[in-house]
Amino acid sequence: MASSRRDYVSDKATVKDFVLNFRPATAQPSDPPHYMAVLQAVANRETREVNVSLEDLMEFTGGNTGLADAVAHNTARYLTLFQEAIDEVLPEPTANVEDADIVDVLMHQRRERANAAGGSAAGGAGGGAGGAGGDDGAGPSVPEFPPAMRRRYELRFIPPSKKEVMGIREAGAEQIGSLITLSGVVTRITEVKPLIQVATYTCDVCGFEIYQEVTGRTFMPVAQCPSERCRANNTRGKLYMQTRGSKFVKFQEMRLQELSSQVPVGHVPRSITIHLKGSLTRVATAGDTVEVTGIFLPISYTGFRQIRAGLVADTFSYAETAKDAVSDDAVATLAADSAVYSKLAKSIAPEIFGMEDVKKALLLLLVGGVSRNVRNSMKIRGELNVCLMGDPGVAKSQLLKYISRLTPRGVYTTGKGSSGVGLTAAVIRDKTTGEVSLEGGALVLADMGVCCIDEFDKMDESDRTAIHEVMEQQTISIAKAGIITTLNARTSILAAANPVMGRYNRRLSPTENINLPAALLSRFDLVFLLLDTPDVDKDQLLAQHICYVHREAKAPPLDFEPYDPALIRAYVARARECNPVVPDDLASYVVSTYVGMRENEARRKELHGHTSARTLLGVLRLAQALARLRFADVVTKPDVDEAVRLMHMSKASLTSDSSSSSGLDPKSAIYTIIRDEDARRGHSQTLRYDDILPLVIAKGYTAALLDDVMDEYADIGVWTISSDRSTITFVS
Amino acid sequence: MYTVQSLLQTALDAASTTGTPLAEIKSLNHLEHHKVANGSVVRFRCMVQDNLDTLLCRAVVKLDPVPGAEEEDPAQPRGSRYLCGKYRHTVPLPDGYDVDDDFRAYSDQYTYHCTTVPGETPWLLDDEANELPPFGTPSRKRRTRSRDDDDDDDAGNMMARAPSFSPSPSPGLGPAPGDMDLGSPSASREGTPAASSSIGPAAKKNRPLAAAASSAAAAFTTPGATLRNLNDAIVNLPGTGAGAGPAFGAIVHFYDSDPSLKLNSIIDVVGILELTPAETAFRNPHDAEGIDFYEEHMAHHPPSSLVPRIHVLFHDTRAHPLASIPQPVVDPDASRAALALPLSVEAALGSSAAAAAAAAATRAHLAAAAGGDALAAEYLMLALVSRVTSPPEASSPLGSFHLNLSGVVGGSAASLYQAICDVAPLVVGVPLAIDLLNDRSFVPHKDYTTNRLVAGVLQLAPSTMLLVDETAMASGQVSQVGVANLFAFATIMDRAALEYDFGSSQGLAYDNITVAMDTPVVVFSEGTSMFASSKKQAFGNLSRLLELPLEPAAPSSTSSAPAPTVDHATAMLIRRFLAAVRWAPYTFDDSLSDAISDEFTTLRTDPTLNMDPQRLSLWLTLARWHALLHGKSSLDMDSWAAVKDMERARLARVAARAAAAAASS
Repeated sequence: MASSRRDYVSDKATVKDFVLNFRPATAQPSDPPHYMAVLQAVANRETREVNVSLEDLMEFTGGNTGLADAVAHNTARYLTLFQEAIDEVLPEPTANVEDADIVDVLMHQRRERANAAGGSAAGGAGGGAGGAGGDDGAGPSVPEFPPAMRRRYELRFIPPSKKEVMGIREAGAEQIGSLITLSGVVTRITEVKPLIQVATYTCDVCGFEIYQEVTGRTFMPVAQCPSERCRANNTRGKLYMQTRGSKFVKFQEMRLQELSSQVPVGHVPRSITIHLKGSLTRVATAGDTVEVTGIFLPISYTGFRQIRAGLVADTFSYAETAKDAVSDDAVATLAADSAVYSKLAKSIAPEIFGMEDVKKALLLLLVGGVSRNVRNSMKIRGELNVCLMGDPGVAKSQLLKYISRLTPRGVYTTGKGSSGVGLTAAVIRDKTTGEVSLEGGALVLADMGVCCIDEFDKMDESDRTAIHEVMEQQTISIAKAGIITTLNARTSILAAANPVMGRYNRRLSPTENINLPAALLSRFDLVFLLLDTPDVDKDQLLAQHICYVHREAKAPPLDFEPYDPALIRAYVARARECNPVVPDDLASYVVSTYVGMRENEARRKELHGHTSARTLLGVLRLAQALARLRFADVVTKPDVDEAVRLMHMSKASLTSDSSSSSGLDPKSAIYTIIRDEDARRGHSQTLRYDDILPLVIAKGYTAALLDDVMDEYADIGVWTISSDRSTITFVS
Repeated sequence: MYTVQSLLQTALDAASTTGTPLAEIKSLNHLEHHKVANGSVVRFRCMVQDNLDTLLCRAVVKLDPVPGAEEEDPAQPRGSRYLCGKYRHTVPLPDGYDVDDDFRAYSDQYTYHCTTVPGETPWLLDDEANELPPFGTPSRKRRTRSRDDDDDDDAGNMMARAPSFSPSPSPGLGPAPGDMDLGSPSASREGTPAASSSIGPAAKKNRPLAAAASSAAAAFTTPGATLRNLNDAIVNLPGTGAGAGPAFGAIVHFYDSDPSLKLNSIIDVVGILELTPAETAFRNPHDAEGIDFYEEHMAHHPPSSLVPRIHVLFHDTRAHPLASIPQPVVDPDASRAALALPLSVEAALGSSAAAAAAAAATRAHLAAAAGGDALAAEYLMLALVSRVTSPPEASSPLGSFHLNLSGVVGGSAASLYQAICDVAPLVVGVPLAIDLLNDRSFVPHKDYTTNRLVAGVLQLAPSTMLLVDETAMASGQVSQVGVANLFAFATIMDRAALEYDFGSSQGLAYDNITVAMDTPVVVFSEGTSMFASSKKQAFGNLSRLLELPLEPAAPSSTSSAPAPTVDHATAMLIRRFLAAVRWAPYTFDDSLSDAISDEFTTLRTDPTLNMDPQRLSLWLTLARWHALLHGKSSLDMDSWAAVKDMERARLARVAARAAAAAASS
């Protein structure tokens, strides 16, 4: 509230001055004053909206926010003040106004009657009741047209753009009468209805017209004619309401519910009633997230006189803007961190021990690659699919559940337990109406999100076939009960599966252990094999970790503070806005890396290798996701290297049962690669750097490591490097 | 400041020095509200069922004289009058006055829909009647208990009043239900006029004692009828609606500051009861013409005869409903903000001997119900004291585990149910009968038409024992609703949380609200529970659900042998003991981590144990409660070893059972 009582008379003068003379700083000197231009348009019946910006008002008062604050705190009062001021300065129409409305008709009739009465007082009684006794009906007490009747505009205040958005929970009695901005989700909205603003009555005895201004939702109709004549003659003329002569405004009531992010943990969302009038009707539908600005006012349902004191419900007047509300500075600061990739990855399910590469893969799955619609409606999916395969008890399900909760549209389901609707969709027949309707299953519900399917291997056969389509085409085709349609299922799939015998059997080959057809398996960009092998050192660490959790009731501190799920969500949402491309010069690098992977595989004669064109697409998707994480528009070489490394790690886990290859340290491993390559080429002794690099990358090592190895072995005289580092020559 | 609270506080302080306890305030938990006069100050222990929208009320109502309404004395014109508009919906309007609508002094009215706590067991009401929870200032620790002496006098009497200990159907701990009806001396009490206020509840309870007990047992076996009544949208009761006392809801208004109550939390309120027909304006649809969201208006203004209004003067949030055990507080020393009792179990019970005696009595009581199965009794004890100890944001809950007692046949489910009711304050039994499962959703959902959270069976207060009777399942088809209901149980067992439906099923893109469900589940089943089945895993891998095949020590024919009689004092001791253990402070010494880690690595190689990290976590959980039950405040290797032995015994039973099943098929 304003600290001192404001002088409304001088305020009104200021307002009038403001309306008459305000020119924004950006305006040309030749422009008419801003609000006069608007009012002219109103007079010419070109617009009905007059939006008064409080920022303009502040600018006009020269930085003195007193008046603007007063408007923001006692909005309803100043709304009338502004209307009065505007009524006084409203210009005459400059254009020819057609389409006379009811007010024009009434005014016209009055003028006619005044003329017929020979110049008696303007505004005599008239109207449609036959005009009985027009001469003596016109007394000094004849009511004027109420100003509300003549106003052909809706006045609204626009809050300053930096105005704080409140949660519904925060709005309370303190804000009554103030202009506040709330955000929330529209849960319910009524049809647009007429709301009476001015009720017009005529007297059946004297033809007198009565106007009644209505401010609330309900009003008590006037029953007795108050005109001089009726009172003098004691005729008690009955009044009849003239629907045509009354003024109505479009009206909608809606319910706004708190955004889920505004609800404290363990609480339920609260809601508030919003009244929308005039041009603000039909701007929102149920389910929209909106920001609403308006006057916070109590409304009373006046039904019972004695309860009026207590039963005052909340209300809210008008809406200004409707837009999605989410912005976060924290995202920007996070993006500046160079280690954002690994930190975000580690922040995924921090209670779950280790599994860094898996968590990185899950982070990339959240971000996803770029979907492309090539011409001829061919589509290349951007969503990443990841499969976690492994022994029971390695926290697969926990990871899945965590991800399903982390994503805005995450669905967690089990392959076996999903009910009638199942994973795809079901046709449901309504018991009462007999209508058939389509009900989406988990995959449809997870459209544009992540569908986490536990027990993937135990899935029904029918669902499994549907999954094939979803995982590449991202659609579900339905042909049931006469309904033939295709539903979108643009979802990433995160699956968890157990090996065929429940536990991984080391005596069998990986392919035999994995009970999934190759066609399905190849659709996963990454397949991680998580084995629960007793390993004294690892188990020790694991047990210590679990003991710590039980001791402290929280996860052990990481080397950094794990990020809040909400922040991860916001960051991922921001990252998904980027659409990075693979530049031409990188394309050849990707190709050579891919060829290297194929060659590696061919040489090792791996039966379970699934390196195919899908793998190449997978690499590209992963690289795009990595670029998105940097908010970059272009995919770079390190992105591709990291993508290939992850790919290799996922495949390495498939073969790691022998654990022979991983026994070597990286440098020796790279040396072995180079030596083998040399041997394959028949000890030509000179190898080109560009030939080696793809092989090294394909094995999951980095170019920097290769450089180190080259220098190290050159130092001990195994080989020599050319001055431009393009070739290696073995010293014989 | 001079507030209503301070006024009442002063009055109460004055009253307490003269020996009049707060217990004079009538409790709605004992008396139906229609027996209390409108405008009385009442107590109500309830659960927050829904948070209704914050309303505005007139803090001050200005009354202006109506000119000419009365013969006015020109010399003394009547002035305006001011009335407090808070703590009531209606103000008395004196003749010749009218409310000044332009006088605006508004105040927030934070509004909740609260119901009686689902699953309250009969003895809890006795506990409540005798011991009053301290209110308001911490200094007001304990009030003189006016009926303490009475307690001792008629312990046997109380024994009868706590019927749960006697008329359990099969293993019969005491006299059969028939004996209770008239022969019990407590019956004479009904006529005692002196017992009117504080004995009132007891008197009320006296008659339906047997009925209450049998209805509790009946609720477990055939609750269909009870449940269907809940469809009444006006009353909107969570749980199965079967409680010991009258079950109803109230619209509770808070003033001055947002109490910010969590959903499903137990609160004790002292407030002014308002029963006024005026509040229920527009119940006639004719009056409601022009009101948008008419259904919502109806739902938020139910008849006060069904849903009374309470204007709160004081309130307290309770972690457990037991009055005789102090409330846990946030430990100021610990780095983590963990709730724990400010005193150890011994201190809560008086002595370590009392604690040991209580533990032994609990064990004997549960073992008797389980047909002499000591292992089952031990596991049940652990389940009875377990609670979630991790903060709600943790991805997997710590501290909780669930039990599947398999091999439950015949009436043993009912006797186990009864035995648990005897010692746990809040017990909700859900038989998985097909029609019940398919009938309605167990998970609460938001109805946007009425703007209310529609309560489900699984809207329960923390620490409620959730007993699931799988033996009630008959052949039939489980509908989609039923499947979702079954999954809700699985979710509780897995995550100790449940997603209340806030729109996903209604086509509204609104995130569901995850509500913590700290409710230990005990599943009774004939074979292995469908939730625990390791082969099918239809409900995912519920690693915290432990299957324990019951092995009654004696054949069922001897189960009717006289079981050790538990007198009222011992019964109360057991109850207090379990509550104290549940909230007892606990430490886990770092030095044990290494020993346990070492042991884990060796246990990993044991093929019979199938030891994985989740099992280790589970064993640490069991060890925590085991240690606390045995009078220790921190983990030691003895408890760890005991848990290991228990688990080995349990797994051996499971394996034996599986082998027997395989052999017979």
